[in-house]
Amino acid sequence: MMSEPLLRIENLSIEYVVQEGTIKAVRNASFDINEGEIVCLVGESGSGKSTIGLAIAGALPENAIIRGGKIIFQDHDLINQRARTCSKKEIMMIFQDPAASINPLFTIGEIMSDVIKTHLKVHNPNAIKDLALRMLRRVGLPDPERMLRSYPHELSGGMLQRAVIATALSVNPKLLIADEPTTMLDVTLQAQILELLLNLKNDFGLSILLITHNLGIAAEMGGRIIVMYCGEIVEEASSNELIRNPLHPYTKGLLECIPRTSIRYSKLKHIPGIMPDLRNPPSGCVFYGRCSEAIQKCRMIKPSMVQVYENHTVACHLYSRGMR
Amino acid sequence: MKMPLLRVLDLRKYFPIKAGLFGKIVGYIKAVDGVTFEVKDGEVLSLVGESGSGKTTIAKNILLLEEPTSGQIIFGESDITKISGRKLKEYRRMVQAVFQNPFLSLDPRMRVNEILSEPLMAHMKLTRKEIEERVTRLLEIIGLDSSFMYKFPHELSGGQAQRIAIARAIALEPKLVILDEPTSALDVSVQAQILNLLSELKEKLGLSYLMITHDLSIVKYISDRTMVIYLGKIMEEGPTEKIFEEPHHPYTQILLSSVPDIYSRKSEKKTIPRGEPPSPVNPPQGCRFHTRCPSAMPLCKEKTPLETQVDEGHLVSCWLYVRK
Repeated sequence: MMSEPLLRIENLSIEYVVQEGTIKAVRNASFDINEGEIVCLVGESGSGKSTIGLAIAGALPENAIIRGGKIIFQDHDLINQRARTCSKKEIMMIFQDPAASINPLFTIGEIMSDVIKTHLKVHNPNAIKDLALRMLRRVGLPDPERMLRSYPHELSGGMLQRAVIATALSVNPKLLIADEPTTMLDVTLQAQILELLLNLKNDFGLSILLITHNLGIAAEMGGRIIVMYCGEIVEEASSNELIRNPLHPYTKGLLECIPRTSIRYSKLKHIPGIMPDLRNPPSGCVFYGRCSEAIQKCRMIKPSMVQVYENHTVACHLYSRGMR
Repeated sequence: MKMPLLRVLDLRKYFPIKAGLFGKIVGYIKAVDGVTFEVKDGEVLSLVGESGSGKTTIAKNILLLEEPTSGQIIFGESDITKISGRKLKEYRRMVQAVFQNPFLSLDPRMRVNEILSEPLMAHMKLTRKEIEERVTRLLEIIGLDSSFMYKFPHELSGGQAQRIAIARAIALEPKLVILDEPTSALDVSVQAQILNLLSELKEKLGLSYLMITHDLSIVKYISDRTMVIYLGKIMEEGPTEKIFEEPHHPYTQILLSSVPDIYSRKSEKKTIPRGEPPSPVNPPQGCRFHTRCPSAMPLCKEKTPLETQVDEGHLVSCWLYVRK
């Protein structure tokens, strides 16, 4: 058993206040990330996966309110602002569209030195440059000297995402949150970036929280997978276990509707219906309306997470005590 | 033998690059550079490529949204780049399109019934009542009830809006529908619904599809034949089964192994692609893929490979397969 986890999320609930009401984006989410571990947060749009990522990084938009819960990082609760300031450089986040997440008016060199100065308090220009060059080389960018002088628009999407990863890693964080880091990239580049993330995890002992809608990516990264639906965590297991032995009807459905390149289909399975309105989430199981295995109990009572096998938990009444 | 419905012969589309005060042409982006293929009656042909491969430009040329630089596009008997008047109107009726993002392709200020009756009014002499009947029927075919009739696009979910876009495309009983990344903006569970709908409609209405996508897993599901395109040139073409089971071209092999698969691990991967795709402004001489190809030979840098038939209807443009 590992000692203390690097990050512990406890009963986190987050809401967005919008014109039409209050969107209950994340409800009672709890999970851990251990040191040097890769955890994939998987869900469709509106599942709340990115909101959790932003909350950990302290980058929630202004209309977001943390309704309850704790984000404990190395014994500090990050919801408390003072603790947040201390751990700023320990948690870095990269986003889907690298071009939208960095300032187009600065060169890669300027952006990197800004980040290094702020977080590492290094002010010697040569030391900054050395570090930046080392990082750019580490992420596999050709001609790092030229890279430092380049503006973001001069780089392709894949190169820019590498540069952003280099910037994030230059301050030696403990946790990297990667929110759909390859969604904008072509498959060949996607494969390169995912391989890079895995290598970095091994070399730096980095913990990675990878947020993705693609179960295929989550499976290939080989860590732990947390499946979210409609603001709630519905299942959690090691990637191998989750893919081969999914328990929650939503996870099963999701796995079945992914077309695979190695099988010929006559008809794809799909999950009927659409996600419920997040302003007024169902009081019972969130998946009740679309679930083919639903029972009466599911409509009224929200299932809690139960451990079914070692390292495999699920929030579904089919697996509660007395049901199996 | 199925009759060809659409034939594209040596299609080229060059976009001029202008510079300076007077817009002097300083070069060309060769988006599509000599592409020949045909879509047979009742088949689904997939055009697969990464960004910048020219796949969307081919679609735009067929839809007459762009004028080809050279080459012919033959539909039925006539070259559609040369027709006008009533014949052109007839062509526009027979060839329809569904685009990636329904919220951009549907007019936000029109209600669903207006969106669906507009093409009917433009092309068919029908009474108001007949149009209304047809619209109701269309909604039924695509699996939405008549309550959707008076909704605006913003009131629909992504999947529902894409269904409306499909309904609009089939409203005029076309022969060929061009699907440009029809599910890329959707979640997997919804993607499966739309793919099933598309293959159902194809059978029911006797449609042919030209499907343009970067996602190989949906290609496998939906298409009869597959064409792989790289930097404006066709690399490999053949029956979908063959392309997936025995990919010949190194690029196709790399593309296939880059697709994340839920049952494979990153570490078990055979080929991780190298490098970035080169710019189409100045594409590599000889074979366009030689800069990233693991099996490139000196010959590949000098001469463009000839198209070689490796099996019935399976063509590859690669020097590895040219008989000496």
